[in-house]
Amino acid sequence: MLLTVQEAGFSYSGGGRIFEDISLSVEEGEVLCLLGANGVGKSTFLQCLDGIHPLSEGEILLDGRSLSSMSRRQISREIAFLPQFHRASFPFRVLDIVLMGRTPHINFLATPGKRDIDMARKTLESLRILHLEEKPYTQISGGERQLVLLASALVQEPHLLLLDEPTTHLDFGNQARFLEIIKNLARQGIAIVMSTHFPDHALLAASTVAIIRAGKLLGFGEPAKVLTEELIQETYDVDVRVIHLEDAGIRTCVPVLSENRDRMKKRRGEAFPLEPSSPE
Amino acid sequence: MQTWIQRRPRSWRILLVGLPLAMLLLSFMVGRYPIPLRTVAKILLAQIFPIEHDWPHTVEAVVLQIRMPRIIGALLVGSGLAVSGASFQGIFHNPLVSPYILGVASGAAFGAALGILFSFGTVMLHVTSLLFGILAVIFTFAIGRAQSKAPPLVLVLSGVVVGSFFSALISTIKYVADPFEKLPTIVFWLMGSLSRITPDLIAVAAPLMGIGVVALGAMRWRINILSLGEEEALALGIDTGKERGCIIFLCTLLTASAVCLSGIIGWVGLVIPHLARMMVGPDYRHLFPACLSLGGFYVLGIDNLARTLSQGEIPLGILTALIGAPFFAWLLTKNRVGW
Repeated sequence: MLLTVQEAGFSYSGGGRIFEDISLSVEEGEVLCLLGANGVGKSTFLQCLDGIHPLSEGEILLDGRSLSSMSRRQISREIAFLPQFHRASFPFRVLDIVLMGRTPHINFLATPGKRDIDMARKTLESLRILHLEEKPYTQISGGERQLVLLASALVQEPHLLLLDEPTTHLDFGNQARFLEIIKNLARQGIAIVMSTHFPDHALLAASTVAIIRAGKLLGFGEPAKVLTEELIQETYDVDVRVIHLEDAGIRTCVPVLSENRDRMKKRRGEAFPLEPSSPE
Repeated sequence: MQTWIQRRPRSWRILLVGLPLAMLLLSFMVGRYPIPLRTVAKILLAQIFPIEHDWPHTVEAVVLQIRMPRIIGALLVGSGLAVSGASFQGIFHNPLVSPYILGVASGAAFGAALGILFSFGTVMLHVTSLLFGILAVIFTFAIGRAQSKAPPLVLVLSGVVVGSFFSALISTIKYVADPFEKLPTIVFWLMGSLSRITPDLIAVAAPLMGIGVVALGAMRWRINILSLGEEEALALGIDTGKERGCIIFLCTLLTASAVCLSGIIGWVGLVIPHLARMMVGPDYRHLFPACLSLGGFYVLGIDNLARTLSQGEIPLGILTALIGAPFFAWLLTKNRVGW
């Protein structure tokens, strides 16, 4: 097992408990999707997985080694992390941003060499954004920026890739394309853990899904089994229907608004007049 | 928008080497006692090659004993402040900070003023100046840190707070200083002047600043990564606490030594990094040499004006602010700063 999390818990030094008793594992080539409402600690959990915050309880094992015994440099050679917000203070060139991903592999006082530059350009090309290489990173679109950051994470040559809500700021088409890229990377053997706000993304791209609610693991396992209507409802506190599109082999999840609910109730009432109405 | 360096990599290198060199030669020539270029060149070359002495001894004394230390001092101060300003901006990922704004300069100046008050030797002067400079930046960072995540504005504000606290301490020193001997020295030096520079002051400051510049230069790629932000740098394997601390120490060393040489010279550490960034972009691999070159060029040029504009000597700090402030205002209004 590449990544094993054992009964992990984290509280801030001030006392605020973020999560507790989370156990899960990720294998090479797997995509684990983290789901949970706003503010349940998905970002903090991901930061813990990268060793940025030390756990308060439990342990994280990377290839059998305890993460807390590894230096920042050692961790960064195994794990790449894409934070949710990246506010760039300075207008670096796209190529330079990607080159920065090589930092774990170059000597302490050295600068990137020709091999690193070749690798960065190759990665940009594989993501089809080589034409951006000379552009200032501050002047490209949000979708392009996400791909540039991904390229920067990939030249780190990670075994594990952590993505904090990578699709949140992307438009519909870019979301789908990004998921496609993620699946491709997993096929190449990289383990991926990503948090997302969209259960659909887990249903589309994940091999396993973990749901966090109130700081605890509510469900962990295969998306089709874990992501039931009841569980999604409990997670987000909203009515949903999960629909199975059999011809495409896709499950999708749709929220049900109050107007739709009334309509559904009415239709159900016509079809099954004896069914008791749900308590509300 | 491509930066200048991407469009013409060769011409910028020539310019960045040529500008300070030309200014260097000019600085030997101008002053109360003008010396022609030929003579300057011959005197300088005579230090290395055997050339027949066909110039008066007084001219040689002016070039080597009066102008030489001052020119070296100007280059050290300009390059040191510009490089430390650029590095501070990088590691605080904040284009608005400078040694002056972070309170480092005021802290270092207080330390040096103490040194003058108690007639410390050159080495002790550097030590107290460095100590109080570090103290000031620790205060600034601690206050900024208390506000959760130290957004750029809080850091600037806490720098202002710390800076004015140390300015008040400096005023206290002025108040108690002997009005006939110590006070004029402190006041004139605080306004920023290179006229106090002596060879033994250079002998202490130059190696210190040399170490600072070389060490910072070696870390230029690390500064790039730190300028991305805390989480990003950690994820890329940087031990941010240690490395940022190391860079802050080196920047403070440069600032404190510059303050010992010339008092408080504002604006160089803020304006030069911006100018350099406009020319070569934000990458410290290029920004660093550009700041060295432009910083030295700028202060040397300003010092030449200070020496020649009037009969007396205009304090350098006044001129750098008179030129630097409007220039920065122009940058802001033109929105050319690019952050």
